[in-house]
Amino acid sequence: MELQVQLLMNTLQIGSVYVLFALGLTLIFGVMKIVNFAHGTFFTAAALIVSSVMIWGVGTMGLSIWFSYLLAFFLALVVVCLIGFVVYIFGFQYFLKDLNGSFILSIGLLLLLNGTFLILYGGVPRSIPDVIPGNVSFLGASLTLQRLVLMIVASVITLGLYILVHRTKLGLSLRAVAEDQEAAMLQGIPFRRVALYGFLIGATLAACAGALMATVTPVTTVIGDDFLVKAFIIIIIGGLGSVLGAILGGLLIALIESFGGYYFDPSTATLAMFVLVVVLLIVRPQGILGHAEK
Amino acid sequence: MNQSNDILSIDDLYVSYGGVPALEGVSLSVKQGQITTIIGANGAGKTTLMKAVAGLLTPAKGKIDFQGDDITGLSPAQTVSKGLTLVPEGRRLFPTMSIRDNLMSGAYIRTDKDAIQKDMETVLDYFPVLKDRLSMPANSLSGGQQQMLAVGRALMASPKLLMLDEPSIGLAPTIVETIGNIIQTISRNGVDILLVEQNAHMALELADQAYVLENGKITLTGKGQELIQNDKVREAYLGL
Repeated sequence: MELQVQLLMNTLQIGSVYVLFALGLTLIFGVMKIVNFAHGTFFTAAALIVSSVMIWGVGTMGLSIWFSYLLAFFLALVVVCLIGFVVYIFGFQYFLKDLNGSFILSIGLLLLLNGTFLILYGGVPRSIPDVIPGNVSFLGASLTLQRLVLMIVASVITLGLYILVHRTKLGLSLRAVAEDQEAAMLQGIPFRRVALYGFLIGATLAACAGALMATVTPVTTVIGDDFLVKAFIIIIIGGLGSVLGAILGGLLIALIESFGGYYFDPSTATLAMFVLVVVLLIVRPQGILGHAEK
Repeated sequence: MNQSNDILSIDDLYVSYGGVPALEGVSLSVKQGQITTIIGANGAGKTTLMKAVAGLLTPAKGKIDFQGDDITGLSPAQTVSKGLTLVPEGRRLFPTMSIRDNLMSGAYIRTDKDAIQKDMETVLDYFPVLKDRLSMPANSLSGGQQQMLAVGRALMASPKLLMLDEPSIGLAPTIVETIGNIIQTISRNGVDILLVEQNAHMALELADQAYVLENGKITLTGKGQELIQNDKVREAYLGL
């Protein structure tokens, strides 16, 4: 029982970050109809910024860990948003709804940014000090306080996104553009501006995921790439373009990873994910909550 | 031609679609307080004309005036703001979004909350069938109901001119009649109508003024009732 609770806690913790990251990818796909292979670099950039600002803030400036982290988190979001804005204005806006063009662009961007990160940061993984030290026990399972807070923050952001998408006017325009771009334009919705907003929100979600993950795992310059592959699996399982699908898929993948990794081994768990994708693509290619194209 | 009476006037419009000329010198006008219709066969350029007026396509040449303002080449967001909305061919609803969200998307450009709410009630009075299903997805509706929703969505923009691109396509004759009645009611309530149809019968019955579009050119014009009597129209479009 304790063990299962522990594994479940691990599932929720890693799953909540998967969800955040996959949501951004699925949102960008929904609104722009492109697959952003450079999405992981937003995650990486945020994690790297958090680690370097923390080292600078705590080490050089002698700021408190808490304050340094908040500052780092904020800076990470701002910088990633800026990167997102620049790559949108100079790149992606010319490849809206163009799968081939955006594929080439985003792969190029991925290579460029990964190389840049390696030059700037080097290949050595770095860890940041615990922002919130301590442990909590829950039904016999123990969890660091830090991971618990991470989980809560990620859930709050997810909830916030859900409200944004389903309860606000911006959300209405994002959904309308995702469902039928031309019909959305006929309602007076400015498609290009909405696409930019969608892209920036997606990039910000990836940055949130990266900034949160930096607190619990060593940061490398390729940390986001692993998440990207998982995020693809997640949105294929959940259904491309579906918010609830990304949440469901993210938790399911984390569940497989966590329980499969314990009862069998991590590579079997990874194998299971890919098998799941293959089976799903055969029986329900649009994903659990996805909608078949007309 | 009495310019002041025209809500929409199109002058010598040329539009290419995918590199192929689709409209070659189309001129027509929609008068205030009237239902104007354009009939034409598949591929005559009807949809191209609608898209060009709505701002989805940019004309190569010619001029479109709406309420005396030149709207040639404006974006759809600008034309909608000026009071011109298009119910596109095939309805083009947001299929998985709720009926309420579909209607609200029509009011996207508006910020007057109270007036939007009032228009929502008006639209639901036009189409009571939508009232009980506001939170259901649009794709749960039948074809006729979807067409009603599409018209309702366009009305939510509070348009001065409503353009409808083949609203009767794929609908049963009784539903077509209902849609026709609704168009008449909307017209009587002060929204001018430009109706584009392959179903010439319904369109000509409703229309004050009618145009026939063939291969990108207006080939015939007259009162709706006159064109119903016209031998060419009867043969080509009414199957008589």
